[in-house]
Amino acid sequence: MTLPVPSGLRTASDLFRDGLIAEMPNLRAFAISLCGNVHQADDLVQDTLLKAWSNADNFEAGTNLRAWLFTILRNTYYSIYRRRGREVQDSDGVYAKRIATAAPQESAVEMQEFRIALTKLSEEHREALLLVGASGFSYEEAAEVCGVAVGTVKSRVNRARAKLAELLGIDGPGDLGSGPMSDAVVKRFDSGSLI
Amino acid sequence: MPVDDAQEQKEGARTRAAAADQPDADSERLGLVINDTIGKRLQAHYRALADEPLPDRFMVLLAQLRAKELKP
Repeated sequence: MTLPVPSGLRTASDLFRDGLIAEMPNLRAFAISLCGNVHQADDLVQDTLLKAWSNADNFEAGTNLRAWLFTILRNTYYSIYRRRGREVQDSDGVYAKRIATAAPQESAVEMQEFRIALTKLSEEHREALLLVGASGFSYEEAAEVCGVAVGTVKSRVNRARAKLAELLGIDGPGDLGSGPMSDAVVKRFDSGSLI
Repeated sequence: MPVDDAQEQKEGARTRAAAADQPDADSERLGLVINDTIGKRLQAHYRALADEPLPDRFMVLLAQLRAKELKP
């Protein structure tokens, strides 16, 4: 069914595969953050890749591959993985250890605190925050991935931030830097590209 | 992809609840302030995970799927 192509030419299948490979690190970071367990997250990414490949015909070339993949991953998580229960929640501490070693020494404690706080959010708040604040989605795209209204995503992101601030004891201007960096962050927030 | 009906209904109810609970201007402002610290930590957390080497099994899977596809 696949005709031989001259070397140097990429088939649609090659391009699709390239797209999957390019999104793997982002998918995996999201999966680990969502389930809080590295082994489960890797199974989840593997299932997502398999489903994506099997359903490649349903993907319209040129549309948002990232959103399509995240939708598959998220649906797989909620329909299968979450039902397996939470007893496997990082039982071997792999997640905690990796996070701790991935960060520069001085911020390792902060990273660990943040990771723990993140696991205390509800799943829907956590995923909204991750999609918009880290995975690179606009509010509109995140709404599509989650199958809810844009206003719902905004509300969830706000609540997630408020809860994290409470858990981490960030409660006001005392914890703030000011100057060009903060201004830039606020501007980016206004344009919707950051939480 | 199967959609869990109960989940969808729950989402609908939450959507309506959320719409009735928009933050006022002051808390929105505080939100911007908090965002700086939270946003940076969130992105550092995520980047650390995304920068990790990927398990070999992902590429092995893609190679297997591709081999199957090329088989006559």
